[in-house]
Amino acid sequence: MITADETIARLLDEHPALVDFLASYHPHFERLRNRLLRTIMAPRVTVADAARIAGVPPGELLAALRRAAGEPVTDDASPAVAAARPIAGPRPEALARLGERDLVRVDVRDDIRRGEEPFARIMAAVKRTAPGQALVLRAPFEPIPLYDVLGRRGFAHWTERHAADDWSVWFYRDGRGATAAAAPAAPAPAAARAVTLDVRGLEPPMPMMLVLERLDTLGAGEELDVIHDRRPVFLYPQLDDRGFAHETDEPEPGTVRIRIRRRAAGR
Amino acid sequence: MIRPGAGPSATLPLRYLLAAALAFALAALGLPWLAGELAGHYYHPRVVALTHTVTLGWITLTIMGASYQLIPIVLERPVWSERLARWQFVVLVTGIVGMVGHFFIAEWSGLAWSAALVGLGAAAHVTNAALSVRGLRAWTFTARLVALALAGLALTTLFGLALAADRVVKFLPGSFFPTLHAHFHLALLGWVLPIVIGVAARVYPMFLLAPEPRGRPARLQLWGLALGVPAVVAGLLGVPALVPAGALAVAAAVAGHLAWVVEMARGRRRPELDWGLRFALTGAAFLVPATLLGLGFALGLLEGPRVGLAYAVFALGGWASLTIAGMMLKIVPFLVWYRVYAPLAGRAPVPTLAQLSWPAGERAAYALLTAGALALAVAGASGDPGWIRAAGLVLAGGAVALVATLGRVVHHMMPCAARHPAGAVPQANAR
Repeated sequence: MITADETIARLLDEHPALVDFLASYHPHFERLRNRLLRTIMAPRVTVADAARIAGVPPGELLAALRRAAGEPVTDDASPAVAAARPIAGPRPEALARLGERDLVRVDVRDDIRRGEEPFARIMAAVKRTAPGQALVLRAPFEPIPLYDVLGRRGFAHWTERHAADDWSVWFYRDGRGATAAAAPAAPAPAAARAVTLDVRGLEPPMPMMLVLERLDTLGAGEELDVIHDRRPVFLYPQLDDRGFAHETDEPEPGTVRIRIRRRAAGR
Repeated sequence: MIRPGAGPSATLPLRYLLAAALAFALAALGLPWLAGELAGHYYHPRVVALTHTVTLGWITLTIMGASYQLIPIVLERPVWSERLARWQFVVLVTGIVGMVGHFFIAEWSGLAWSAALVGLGAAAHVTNAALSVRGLRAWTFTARLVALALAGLALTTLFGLALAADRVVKFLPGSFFPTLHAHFHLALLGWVLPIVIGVAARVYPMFLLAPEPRGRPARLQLWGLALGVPAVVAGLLGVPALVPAGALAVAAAVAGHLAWVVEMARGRRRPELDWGLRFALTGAAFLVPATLLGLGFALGLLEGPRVGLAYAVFALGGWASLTIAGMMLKIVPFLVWYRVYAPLAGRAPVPTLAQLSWPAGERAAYALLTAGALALAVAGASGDPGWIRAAGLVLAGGAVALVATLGRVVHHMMPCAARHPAGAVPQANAR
């Protein structure tokens, strides 16, 4: 049964037809039709997060999804409300001290409206953001997936909502790593945990960039399952050079899966 | 299957592609200079030198270089021998320079020796590509057309060698011009057309973000070329009745290809086309007048060197050149990115492909090459040297813009640019 903490990626794997339902449910979810944005967002956004992005109560979205999927609508929507991320409070003190020269600004609103991928620009800006500086991201929706991605890199965040389609998020290092504002990543179990990255339908070299970016944050004991639409012959040497072992198989015609893990000897 | 860790070389295809781009610029710059000759009959030694600069230097070198990148991607097979491909490049470039030079000065024994070198290079390519696809388990549409094209290349080369030898010791039977036309059409329809439409079926969806095309047009393209090209060539060589049927079969194959291109363009998820894709789609549009003129000749509705020149310009300067320019604008930035920035990806800021490119240069190249090809076809048909010179100048401007655009991309391979990758990442979107 669909739950509030289920990721959109898993939801759409199990119920592919819900893409159309979500797109028609709220204009914000139109973006799920964009393969690239879906690839980046869907694995990191839960149903509760999606409700918050769209500005609807999580229970309402959950009930609508269950109805669309032909599942019974039970009365368990309220925990989803509790599980939703907290609304940002007043501007943190760490940000109040920063001047304009301490801010790295990146505006991806036009990129997204044109249907272009903003991820590489954002990650390039993240890498330009020195300790003591903050990254100010302007986006047409609340970029909830980035909270986890940058939280793992020690960034806290503070969010401003200017309008329904205009958000600013301030990413900054507060010395404590990911803060309470950012939802903590699920702890990795002792056994190998596979993280799936679906890069099908992306223009080269974006699949390679996304895989290498993701490998950079691959935790101990984690494996990365890359779903591709061809054997990534240019990626293999990069994996070998970086000390990753990989296996490729073809679970169905036209779909290739590459399982990547760190070699025992390290880099 | 690709052996993990055995990555394709980026510099191998790049050397072919850059040499090809220089040949294109040279040919385009030669157009205004040779306007007087182009206003006469197309079988003039200097016009033939110009034609071979385009067909061998520009088109063939590009296809061969691109093959060494695309075989691993679209056929999922490693290149059999990259060392052989490097030697092939040296032999081919030497042979092509020799052929063009000897055509230009009308010196036939030197031409024959140079043609032998080109033949050696072509044989190396056919061998390398054939051994690369050997044992392929799934003979996809692309794989079948690549095989067809390799057969076409082998036959075109043998034909060309025979023509070159015939200039020294006359031995070929029949009239000269039908034989020449057969050689031209074997190269165009037997080598260039199948490889372009075969690779397009796999690569265009990758860049347009469109579903891979399927269905009946595949059979139309395969059988249209497999039956049509031998019929056209045999018809030109001695059985004229075969020419109309062969031409109609080839036209059906072209129609199947165009149907797929339209389907992919309509079904694309990419909202905005970049200049590389605009080049490729505009190139496909040039197939329409080229095919109509070809059918006109085959059905006896058209004749004469003036319309013949327009036909060649639509096919070589329009369809083939614009398509190749578009593919270059996709392939060269990828190869440079892979060579310079892939090792840094995930570790340091790296530019995207869009940030490596130079949209202003691409836009200028697109406008000038498209307008120039169209104008040259019309001017060639009119036979007016002044108009041919003007159209040639426009095309030359486009070729220079294309080479400058590619040069800016390749500049990232210079040590100073590679050492400071962050500097290559502009704050604002480069597009």
